[in-house]
Amino acid sequence: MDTVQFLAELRGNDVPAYPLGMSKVEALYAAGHWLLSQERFVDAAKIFRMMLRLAPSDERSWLALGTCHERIGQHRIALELYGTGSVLGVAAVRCHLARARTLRVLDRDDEADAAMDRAEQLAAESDDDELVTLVLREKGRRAA
Amino acid sequence: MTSVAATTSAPIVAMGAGKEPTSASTTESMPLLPAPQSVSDPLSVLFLLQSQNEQMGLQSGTAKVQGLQQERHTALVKEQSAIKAEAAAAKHKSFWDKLGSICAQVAKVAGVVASVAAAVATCGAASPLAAVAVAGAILSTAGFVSSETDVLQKLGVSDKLANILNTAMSVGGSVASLGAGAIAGAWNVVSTTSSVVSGAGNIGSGASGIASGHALAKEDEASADEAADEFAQDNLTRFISHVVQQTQNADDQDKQLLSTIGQTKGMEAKADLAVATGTKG
Repeated sequence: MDTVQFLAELRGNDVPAYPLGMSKVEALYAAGHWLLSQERFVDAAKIFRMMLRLAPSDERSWLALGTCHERIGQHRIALELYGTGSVLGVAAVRCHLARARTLRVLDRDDEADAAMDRAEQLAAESDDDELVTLVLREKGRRAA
Repeated sequence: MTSVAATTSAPIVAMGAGKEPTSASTTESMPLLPAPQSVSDPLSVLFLLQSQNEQMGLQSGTAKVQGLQQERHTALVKEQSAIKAEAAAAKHKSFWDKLGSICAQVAKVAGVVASVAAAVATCGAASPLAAVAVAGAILSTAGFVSSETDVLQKLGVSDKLANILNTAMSVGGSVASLGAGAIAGAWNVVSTTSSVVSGAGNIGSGASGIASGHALAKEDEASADEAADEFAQDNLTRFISHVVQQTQNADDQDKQLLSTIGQTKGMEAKADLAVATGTKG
């Protein structure tokens, strides 16, 4: 009996189906994302810190960890993390957007505008429709 | 696509077994975090990680590597000393060049992370990218231990250190002596911030392990990397077990969190060390 079965039996459940091909980073992201959705920010942050060390150039690591801090009201720490992710991540449009939002919260509008412009530029260069849409919606939300 | 917003009120699909979707209480409306790969039960993901890690035969692998290192070290050390001296100089310069370049960019938008990364790097941590990652993790952990203002004040990059990041480090090579005072000062501040820093400090002792690892032949060095990585996996496994235990019993989770936070930090600190030693640049 392997560990998974053993633990599953302890839980009183059948062995759950899980994606065997999932990478460790993706598994950590999925687990952290779920913890975040449960508003377990401390736990989620622990998971995302693990992910950060495994994948520092994955913008989701910084974005997700920053989100944990933002959700507990630590906007400046979140800003630090979003900022780092925006540098280390490849075409880190989401980190730039998150940074723009946070700068806006901190009343640093000029810097927020610059971050938004950078996000827009990167989204356009990426040819990723989802990112372009994300930026446009963010700008629309801001305008509204 | 299901997403968790940085500050959103968008509904978030809970992935726990048999649980209904829940909504996060937030203040804005646009999701930024992309959805993870489809998972029916996130707990099972944790189980999967745990299972994979345990199947790696961590202890036996480490012992084997240690045996190899001992056996070959004596024969190789003379031959390698000359090569090592030349290669180390080039590698050292390259490391600081890269770190300086990365930190200079990061410092423009995240001075605290850049500052801590510099401090981590002086402890000999891995690659420049790993140093920045560890710095981010330290900032995060300190943030959960202390107040944001307190952390940022204590970890804040000084003008002096900022200058070092932007000038001396980019020159490369001589940063260890150039920035030693300022960086050591910053590091001392970090040391007073939270228990996580003791873990980061351990990276220093781990770094001495790296230093001796440079004297090994290429094959042995790869094996050392493997051992360090396995050590990291071992700690990761323990950490995940900890999270799983907490998650299994929702009724007790708050009490468990409070009572075990210190233990978790210890595990995490060891993982910091192991990851740092296992990802040499």
